[in-house]
Amino acid sequence: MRFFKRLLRSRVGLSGLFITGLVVIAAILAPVIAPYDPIEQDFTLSLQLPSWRHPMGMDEFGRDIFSRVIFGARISLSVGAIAVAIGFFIGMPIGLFSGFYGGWLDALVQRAIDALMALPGILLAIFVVSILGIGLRNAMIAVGISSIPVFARLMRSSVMAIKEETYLEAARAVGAGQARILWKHVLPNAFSPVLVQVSYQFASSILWAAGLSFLGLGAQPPLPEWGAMLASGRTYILSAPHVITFPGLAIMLAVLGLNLLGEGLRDVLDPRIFL
Amino acid sequence: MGAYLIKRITLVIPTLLILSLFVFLSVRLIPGDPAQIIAGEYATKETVEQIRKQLGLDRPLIVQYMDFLGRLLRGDLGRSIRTNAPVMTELASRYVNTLELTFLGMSIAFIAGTAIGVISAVWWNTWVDNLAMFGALVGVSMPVFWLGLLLVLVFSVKLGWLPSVGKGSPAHLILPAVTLATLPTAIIARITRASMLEVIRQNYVVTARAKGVSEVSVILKHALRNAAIPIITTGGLQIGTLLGGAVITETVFAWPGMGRLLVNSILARDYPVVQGIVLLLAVTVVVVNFVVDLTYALLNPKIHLA
Repeated sequence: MRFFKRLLRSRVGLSGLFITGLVVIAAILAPVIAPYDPIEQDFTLSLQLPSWRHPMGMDEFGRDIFSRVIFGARISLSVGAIAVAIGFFIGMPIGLFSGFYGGWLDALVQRAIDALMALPGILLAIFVVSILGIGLRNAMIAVGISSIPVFARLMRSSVMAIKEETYLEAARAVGAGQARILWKHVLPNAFSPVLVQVSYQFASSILWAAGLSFLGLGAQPPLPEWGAMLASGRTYILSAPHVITFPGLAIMLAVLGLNLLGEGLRDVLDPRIFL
Repeated sequence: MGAYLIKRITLVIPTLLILSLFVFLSVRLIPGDPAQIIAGEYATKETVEQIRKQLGLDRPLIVQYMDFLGRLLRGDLGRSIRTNAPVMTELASRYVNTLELTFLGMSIAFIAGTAIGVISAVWWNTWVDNLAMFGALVGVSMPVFWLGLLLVLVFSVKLGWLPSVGKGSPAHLILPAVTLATLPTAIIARITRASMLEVIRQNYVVTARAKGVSEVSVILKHALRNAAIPIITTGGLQIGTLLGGAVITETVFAWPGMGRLLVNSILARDYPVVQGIVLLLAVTVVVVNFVVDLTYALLNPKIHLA
């Protein structure tokens, strides 16, 4: 709880928490907040400019953009959460064992991670989608797989640093077994930089998944996904710029909130890093 | 230096080998019969068999991989399924276009990022610093495809100053390059600021000030020069971010690089082209990182080159 209080006291962390909170509320209460059905079409209102009835205007199919943006929060947040979970739960143990046991296994794992990291971020996700096939579900998995090397590398370097600590020596000296040392001493201490990364990676995942959808490799129409909305709306950039304004704003806000939250978490959890 | 070089190369080679293995296996990981998928649902049996032969899918896996590797070393990436042209030929000019855009984006990012970072550090904890750092955070959070669309909206559609899509005049490069540069600019600005703040407190900077060296000279000669190493290395490592961003930026601006070809090839299931692009991009990243590493070692006398 002390940790939470400190987070609330940091201006950056608080604003991150606030923005992220807004996005989460939009996602949870989407059916309540959204005034219209996100996929209901009314061609008579096609590309109508923002008005009191439709605060963000209508898209090319006459769908209420505000409702679509609100429902889009559901998609983006769940994509981000699942992708981060995949990266975290696969990457973390890889980094933990690789860093803790070292040796040839570590060397091999590190070269494999180097190879994956040669395709940073969205490139690896695009490559994985090319194998799995296009669609929102596969895009989600692809983004998750792309963050495995990030978590593995971070966890490993964290574990490597802890291996040198005297408290591990002390634990060994009093006869603690490998499993106990790993579980009780290494894991909890290696955790905080990884936790900070969760927030950043969540932000990146939302960006990458939206990017995949923008390229036509992720969410397919008529899903109200922010990246896909931008992709279909860009044709109307001349006559109806509002179509591309709001979904992009939504992505930026969601990502900004998580990045701010990450900064706040870092300040609180690791005051030594200084950026 | 020689020993260090050899040590670095012994790390790069297995990385490249594993990478080639991943790319090689990728087609085999596709659920179902790859030959059938590539040929399409309605292909005749003969076509499927022909593709299977063409890709060598009828031979043992290890033989296939050795063959793949051998052809790779000779610069042979196979043939495109769509056009039947050698993948290398299809990629060559697009690769150059992508590099052109990436290089320009990188240059902008280095200049703008360093400038913003230095200004932020000099006016540390004032509104200038806060504004710059908030701007950097927005830059990191901005989806590159949205930024591109907004720039088109403002500078091409509304103001009519710059062409929005395609390639031709130098003016065509401005919008895509600026779009692409935004994210690395933000990252480099943050690193520069952090690095400068660390250096500014060092004794030699205090001494230089005490000697009466002008403030500009203190910042640029004494501080920035010593803060340069992390800026150059982190900046250099952004090459991957830039290439990834390039793929998307190219799609927005219809820039004839590898990005659009990559997306179209995925949609058309033209796997040899996808593999070729992925390999080419990854090898570029590995080579650039390798060079950055060497530069780092050369610049930093603290690193033992052994």
